[in-house]
Amino acid sequence: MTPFVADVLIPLGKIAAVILYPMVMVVVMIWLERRVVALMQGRLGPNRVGFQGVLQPVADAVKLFFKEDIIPRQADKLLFNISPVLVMFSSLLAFCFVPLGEPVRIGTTTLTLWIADSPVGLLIVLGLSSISVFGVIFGGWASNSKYPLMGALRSVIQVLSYEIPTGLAVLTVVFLARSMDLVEIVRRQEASGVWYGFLMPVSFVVFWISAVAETNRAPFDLPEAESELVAGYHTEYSGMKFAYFYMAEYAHMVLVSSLVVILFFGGWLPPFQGVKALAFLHAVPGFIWYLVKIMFFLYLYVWIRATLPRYRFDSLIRLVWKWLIPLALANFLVVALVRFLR
Amino acid sequence: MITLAVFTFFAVLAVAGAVLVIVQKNVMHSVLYLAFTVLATAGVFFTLQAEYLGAIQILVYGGGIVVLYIFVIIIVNLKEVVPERRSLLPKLVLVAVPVAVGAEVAYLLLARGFPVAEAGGEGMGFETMAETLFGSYLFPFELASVLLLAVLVGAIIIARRKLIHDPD
Repeated sequence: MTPFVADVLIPLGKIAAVILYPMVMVVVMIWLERRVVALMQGRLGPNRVGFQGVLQPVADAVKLFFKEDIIPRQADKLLFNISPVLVMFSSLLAFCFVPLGEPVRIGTTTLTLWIADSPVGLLIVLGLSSISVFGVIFGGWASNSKYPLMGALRSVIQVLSYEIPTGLAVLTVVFLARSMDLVEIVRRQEASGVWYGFLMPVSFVVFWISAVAETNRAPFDLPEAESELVAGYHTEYSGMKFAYFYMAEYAHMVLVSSLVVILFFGGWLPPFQGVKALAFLHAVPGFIWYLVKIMFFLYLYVWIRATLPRYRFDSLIRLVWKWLIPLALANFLVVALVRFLR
Repeated sequence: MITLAVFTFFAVLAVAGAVLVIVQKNVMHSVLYLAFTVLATAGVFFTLQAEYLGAIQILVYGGGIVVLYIFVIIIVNLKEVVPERRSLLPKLVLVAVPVAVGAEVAYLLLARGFPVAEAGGEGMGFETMAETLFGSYLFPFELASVLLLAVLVGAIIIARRKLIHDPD
């Protein structure tokens, strides 16, 4: 391999991949969500543009691209314009730290399927996903309008509260894996033979509930509850700026699903590792398994949205402070005790 | 070379952000620049291979403290800071203290030069730090957490007292 390929082409390809991969997933996800929710509600959903409506997100994007960009006269211009960028930036940046699989050998060279490999990758991803709330608050405040402000306030309270059980649930995984390196966590699951989601179901459930809340998805979509707050924090946004918020929300969902898969369901490992009769499952590339698992959790998001009614705000906060945090703490104690006794 | 360039980029960004925090009249803009400063400082930590510190910087300062600032600003509805009219003596102190501190830093730098710390092993900082923190410095660490607890209890008591006097 020439140095040109190694030093220029491969990094450029990786940079392109880290932007394209979430974007493609977002497009797939938008179509999937609209179709699946429609089918679950006995409707048809968009099925005109392309085969079964797969090109609907593209049509939407083209429409949003040509829409007029409206900035309210009383809005704070700087913050109003920078908020969609902040939201998008934090969601996309986190994908640099999410590994897509074991290093691949092509001929004599090894190609790593991640951009940045850090011993504290997990912490960085959590941090970046928590700063995406900046864009939401700044956007809601800068709009200078009642509904966005209410949405922004709800969002701050919700994200701050739900970060605590998320952290506590992640802590148990870190505790077992003895590492905060996302690649290392998957390797530990391979070595131990049991995925942490089955070893610690409570951690997984707590993490998943908090993850749904942190991505502002139904039944915890209070910051953008359309029946109460019009569209919440992005009421005043139009055109591509609205599209940024919209895409960032879906990118965040993809990110959280990737995290769940890596932390609790063995990342790119094939299922039934120990079973000899099912060894043919290893023939499927790890990346495919990874995608299948991520798609399952994205589908779960849609499923939950179509199934559960929205929480009231006080019960949302009660749920996290009175149930999830004590549960996560107790769970952490149990995990620590079991590991200490073994 | 690239490391130096990245370091300089983040360092300049952090300092510029910090200056903008002070210069801004709009409080919300100040917080935005404060967020930039926090993230740029995290970038500086990353280039120095203090990845744990960088991650904590993003998580605690970015995700926690800056968000709380914003929350408080929204709650108390601060829009513009009206500059206070101060008499001469406080103004003098306001100028003299930073000048004195700046002079001291400049003097120390000129007299001693930049102290250069020994570089640690690559990727090991995180574990070494944990061992130091929970080994040799366990007692101060716990003491700090007790202090935080005391602050927390104090804040609750101050907040409660108002409620008790409330006839409702």
